[in-house]
Amino acid sequence: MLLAPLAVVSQDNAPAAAPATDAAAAATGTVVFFREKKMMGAMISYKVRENGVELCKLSNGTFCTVQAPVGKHEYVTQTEAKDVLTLEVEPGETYYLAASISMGMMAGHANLAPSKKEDFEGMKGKLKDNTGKDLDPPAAKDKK
Amino acid sequence: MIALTLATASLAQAPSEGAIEPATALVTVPALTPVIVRIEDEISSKANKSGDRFRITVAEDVRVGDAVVIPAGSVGEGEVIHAAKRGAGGKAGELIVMARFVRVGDNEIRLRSFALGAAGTDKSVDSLAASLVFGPFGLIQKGGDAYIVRETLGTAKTALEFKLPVVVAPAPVPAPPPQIVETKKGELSE
Repeated sequence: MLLAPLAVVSQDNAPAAAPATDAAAAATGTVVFFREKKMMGAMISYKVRENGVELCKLSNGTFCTVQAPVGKHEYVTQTEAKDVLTLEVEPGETYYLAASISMGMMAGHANLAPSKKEDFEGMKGKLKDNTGKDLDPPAAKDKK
Repeated sequence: MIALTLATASLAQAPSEGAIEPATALVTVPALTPVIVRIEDEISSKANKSGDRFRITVAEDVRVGDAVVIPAGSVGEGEVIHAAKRGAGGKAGELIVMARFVRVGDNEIRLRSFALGAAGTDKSVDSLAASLVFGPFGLIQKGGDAYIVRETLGTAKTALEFKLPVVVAPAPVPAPPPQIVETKKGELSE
C-alpha cells in the first residue's frame, strides 16, 4: 500500500541540454528545510546540523535555504531523540526536506522527511525565512 | 515509339546523404538528456536499507535527432540513499532513491537528476491523542511504512556527454519515384 504520494525530492534547475562543462561547473545544490506551522510541538525549536556544524534553526513555521556541496550529506536533528536523513546532492538541483515534531516521552522528536517543491511552495507564504539566523559559529559547538 | 526508362532501383536504395550506418556511427548524447526510467522492484522503508540496489529499465527510446541511442528496455540500477523505518510516536517510514545508470551494450550510462522520495503516513497526532487517554502507552502508535511501487516512472538525465552507437538508424529517405525518360523507340532503358 502506498501510504503517501511519491515525492520528487529534487527539482532540477539545469537546462535540459546545457553543455557538460556548465553542468560540471555548478558544484553545489540547494537544500530547503521547512517546517509547517502546527499546534503540536509549536514551542519546540531545533537545529539541523551536519558534522556538528549548525545549518538551520527550525522553529514552528520557518524555513532555511542551504547551499550544499555536491555529494552525500547526513543531516541530523536532535531533541530527546536523534534523527538522521541522508541525501545525495547533485549539481544545480534543489531538494526539499520537511521538518516536523512527533510524540516523545518528555519533548517531541524532531524529524526530517523527504518532501517536494509543491508542498513547500504551497506554504511558503506563511513561513518565515530563517536562513542563516540564530546559528552558533562552527567553532562554538555546543549541544544546543 | 516512346520508350520508358526507369531510374535505377539501386540508386534509390543507396544510402542517402546524412543517413547513419547502424553499429558503426557514433552519436553524441549531450549531458542532461532526459531519460524516462521505470522502477522494476518494489522498495519499502520496511524491507530496504540505505545502499540497497534495485532494477530500473528505460521506459521510452532516447533519441538524438531521429536516431535511437538508448532503446526502451535497457536495464540499469538505482540505489536507496535513505531508508528510515517507521517508529514509535507516530513516526512515518522514509525513503529516498536515485537512478544510477543504464547499460547500452558495453556502455554504462551514468544518470542523475532522478531523486524520488516517499514517506509513510505520519501518525503523530494519533499518537498524541492516544497518549492523552493511555499515557505513555500512546507512544506505541507507529507511523506508516513508505513504499515505492513497481513500475513507478520518473525522469532522469544523462550525467555526462556520451558517444553512443546508433541502435536504430533513422528511417531512410524515401526513394524518389521512378522517372520516366524518353529514349529511342523500342528501348527500355534502366
